Order: sequence, then structure tokens, then C-alpha cells
Amino acid sequence: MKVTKYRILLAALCGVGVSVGSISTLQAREPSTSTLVSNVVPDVVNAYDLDGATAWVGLKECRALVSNDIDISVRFDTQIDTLPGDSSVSLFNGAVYYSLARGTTTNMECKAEDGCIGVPDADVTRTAEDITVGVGFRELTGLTGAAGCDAEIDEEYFIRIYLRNSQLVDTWQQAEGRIILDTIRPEPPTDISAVATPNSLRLEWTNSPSSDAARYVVVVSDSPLEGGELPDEEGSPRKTYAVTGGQDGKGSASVNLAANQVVHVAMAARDLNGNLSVLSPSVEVTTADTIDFWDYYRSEGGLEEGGCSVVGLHGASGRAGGVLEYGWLVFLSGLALVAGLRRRKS
Amino acid sequence: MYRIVKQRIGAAPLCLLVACAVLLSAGQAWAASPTYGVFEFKLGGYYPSIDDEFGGSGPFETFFGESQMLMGEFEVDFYLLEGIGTLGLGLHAGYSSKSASVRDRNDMEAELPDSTVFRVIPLRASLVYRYDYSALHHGIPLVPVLKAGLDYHLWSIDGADGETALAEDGKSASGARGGWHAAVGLHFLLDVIDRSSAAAFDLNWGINHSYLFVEYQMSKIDGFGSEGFDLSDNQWMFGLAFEY
Repeated sequence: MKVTKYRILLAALCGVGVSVGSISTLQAREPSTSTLVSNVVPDVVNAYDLDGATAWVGLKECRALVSNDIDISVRFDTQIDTLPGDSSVSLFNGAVYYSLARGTTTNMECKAEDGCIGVPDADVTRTAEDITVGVGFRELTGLTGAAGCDAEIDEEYFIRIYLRNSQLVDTWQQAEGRIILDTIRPEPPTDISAVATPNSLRLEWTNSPSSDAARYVVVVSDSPLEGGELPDEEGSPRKTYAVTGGQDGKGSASVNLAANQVVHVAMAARDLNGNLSVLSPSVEVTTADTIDFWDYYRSEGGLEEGGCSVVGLHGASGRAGGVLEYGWLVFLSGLALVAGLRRRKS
Repeated sequence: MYRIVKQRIGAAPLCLLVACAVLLSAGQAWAASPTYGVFEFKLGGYYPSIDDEFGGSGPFETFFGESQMLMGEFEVDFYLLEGIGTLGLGLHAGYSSKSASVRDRNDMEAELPDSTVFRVIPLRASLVYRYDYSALHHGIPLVPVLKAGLDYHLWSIDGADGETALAEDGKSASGARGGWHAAVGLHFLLDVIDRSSAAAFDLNWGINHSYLFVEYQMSKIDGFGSEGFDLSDNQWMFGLAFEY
């Protein structure tokens, strides 16, 4: 936040105009909306998730955005043309950005002491249909190196524009896009148990205590895992699979194993920003030798052999393409169609 | 006719419904479009007789239990003759499937995560007789229907990997079985409930009459006695029929 305050002063010195007059307050948790803006689209390279006006960025994406010094942007599709022919008419009153600790419900009026930073006009692109606000990810977050992402960050960054639909109106409406940056790994699940077949794993576990643990992954290894390792280490011979199902502590995963194979299964939680927890300790599982209905039927002495049956042409067990039954069926179908067509003609 | 219906069905509520319907119904007041046949949608329970090969209880019950599969079927009939009722040729196609957990070869009681699926697609051709004369001319809104014909049922079984199962001896789990069927049904003419809507249905869509029906069908699908799957069953089916 020290960086943020420093920027306010810098922005003020640069003469960046930020309207603080008749600006309404807002709930910080959700981006504010305006009737003058039909759509808000964040453009964050490699964002883990995008949902409406919000982009979700985790530890992995943070490192990439900071180390490559990538700019992010938010496009606001406007219902009005903010580029009127008469330049004296101003319908757009600048853009700002600010940050709040995750989950904070503080109202932000964006007065100077609130920590809002004005976006230079050069970083705002306006057309008749939209306004795009660009901000460097480093500037937005105050991070100067990828290592900074490893600090436990859990912040919401808002990019806000002000606009109105007439110069006769004093009140400026505001619309926001949001980037949620969370670099805190969730806690892993515990008490793992698994049943394995060559094709799938059925898993049960005790959920991660982390409130934002949304999904789980399972790691299958030939050797035991003590727990505490990262599941996504590069070059690891372990195989990671997504777990379907979930919040009730039960799920499954599609795998590709051999029958009667001994494997070691561990799990990790993944939060809403894509951050993976460290692994739980593994449990040893032997894949079952499965038998399906058809195999069981045949092993029990069932006489069905597949293919198409034939009436009596080849003895009791004859199979030669179902010529007789199929032929009758085709014949009757054709007869019915011909009859129907003849009646329609008549 | 009222007495006959009562004897056949022996259900007082249905008789009351018929009586009301007779009172409600009147002569056909609009110029009906020509009729060519009937199409039907129907649903019913289905349980193949595969385990008969094992004396009544066998692999099918072990995997899929005793509950019935839901079978849906579409039928389109083309009238050949019209007089005292109609005689037509019907073509049917349906679908039914059931899934169950695969088992551990060393412990058949253990249900594993993967599924095995049994599917059957019944194809039938029927000779269909509908006695609709009394419904159309005497205002009795019940139409008895008789059907009989030949069947050809396609079947397949998915293994644990979701593909068509292969037995250890290499036999692939798909095929077809022939057979025959006979059915008796009772169709209730819905037009008597709202005659103006029925007339509009005919005018706009060419649907002369609509029916709600129940049907009892006996199927013998065992390849006419050849070895292999016996897909026979006796089924109650319920559905809607539209005369076009």
C-alpha cells in the first residue's frame, strides 16, 4: 500500500484528472455497474479464469505477468458515444484503479486519500462503441519482480471509469472491471482413500480447510509420496489428473493404468485462482482386474456370440448376417412406405 | 356398447369417463382432412429375458439388478385399408439402456468405479388393426387396437473403458436378434375433451385425432429359438397417438 500512496502523489503531480465531485459510493466486493456500459471485458493474458467483469490470477499467472512486464486492460462497451463532435461536451471523466484486500466491503469514493490512482489519458483508448483502459500489471500490483508473487498476496484490483450520458447531468456514473490476485496456496485435503481400476479412480477425502478450495487433483505415482511436495513440479514422473465431483469429499478421475498395478495416490486442492496446494501423503492402491457384463456372461457359459442372428438357416446357433429377419423387416418397411405414398397420391 | 366396455375393463372410473365423454362428444362438425395413418410415442418398462438361459437368475441380474429399464418407442403406421376400423402397416423404432458398475474379477460383490452399459434398439414392423368406427360414428371415445409383427432388436454392451466390450475370447459385444411380437391396446380419444382444439389441430397441423393409450405387448425376441440372447419381454406401455 506504500507504493499505492506514492503513486497518488505522483499522479497528482502529473496533473491526471480524477473527478472527486459527485461520485457515488460503492460496495468494493463486486465491480460497480452502469446503465451506460453494456459489457465489461477484462483482457489479462493467461488469466486462470474470466467471469464477466472479473479476471482471476493465481501464483503461476502472476509470475508470468510480472516477469514479462505485461500490460492488462479492461474494455468497457458503452451505450453512448463518448467522442461527440463537439469537443467541449465531455461525457467521459477519466479512469482510475485501486486495490482492496480480498473480501473487503469498504466503500470507495476515490478521493485522494482513498488510494485511487488515475490512469493517464495516453493509456485510455476511446472509440464510439467502447473505452479501453490499459494498465501495466506491475503498476497495478506494485510488484517489481516475479519473486514478489511468492509473497502471500490476496487482493482485488479495480479499474473504474466515469461517464455520463449528457453534459446537462452533474452525476458521473461509474463502471468497473476487477482483477483478483491470489497467490496463497490452499491447504491440501486429508484422509484420502481410493479404489482403482485401469480406467478410473474413485476417491474419498476430507476437504481442504481453505475456504476457496474449489477443485481437487489427484497425483498417481509409482513410488510413495510423503506429502508436502508440489504437484506441478516440472519434470516430475508423476501423473496428475483432474478430479470430477467434489465438495462432498467424493469424486473420481479418469486414469490409464494396468490391471493389478500397485500405485500411490495423493491429492491436492486447487483454489479459485488456480493455485495448487502441496500434496497430501499418498495411499497405496492396487488396481482391480475388472470384469464387465459381457465378459461375465461369456465366462458363465452364455451362448450369445455377438453378430446378427439368423432363423434356422445354419442350425440352432447359426449366425450369418441376419438375412432373414432383416430382409423381412426391410420388406415390410418398404411395403408400408409404398402403401403410404400410394394413399397420399390418391 | 357401454355394457361391453364395462365388462371388458371392469373399471368403474373409466366407465364414468366414457359416459361423460359420450355425452360431451357430438358429430364431427368440421371438414376433416384425409387420414393416412397414425404415429405414436410410448414409454414402458423393459426387462430382457437374458437370464432365462441360466435358469432365471444369471449374469444380467448380477450386474443390472431386478429393476426394469425404461424403453421409449416411436411408431408410424400407414393405413392400407379403411372400413370398419383401419388396417395398416406400422414401423417402430425404440431405445433402452441400463448401466451398472463393473465388478472385480476376484470379488464379484465389489462394485468398481467404471460402468458397463447394456443397450437395445428394438426395430419392429407390425400389421395394425384399429377399431375406431364406434369412436368416430357413435361417440364412444375408445379405440381397441391389435398389433402383430416381426422384430429385429439391435443390442450392444459397453465395457469398462466405454467402448464396445470384448470378451476374453475376442467376441465383440454387439449384435441383433430377430423375433415377433403381438400387442393389444386401448386408445382414449382426446378430442372429446376439447373439440374446438381438436379441430384447430387438424386445420393447422393435419392431425385428425389425438389419443392417450395403454398397450400390452408380448415380444419373443430369441432369434426364433436360436442360441444366444433372449431379449423377450411382456411390457405395459403408455403413450400418445396422433392420426394424420
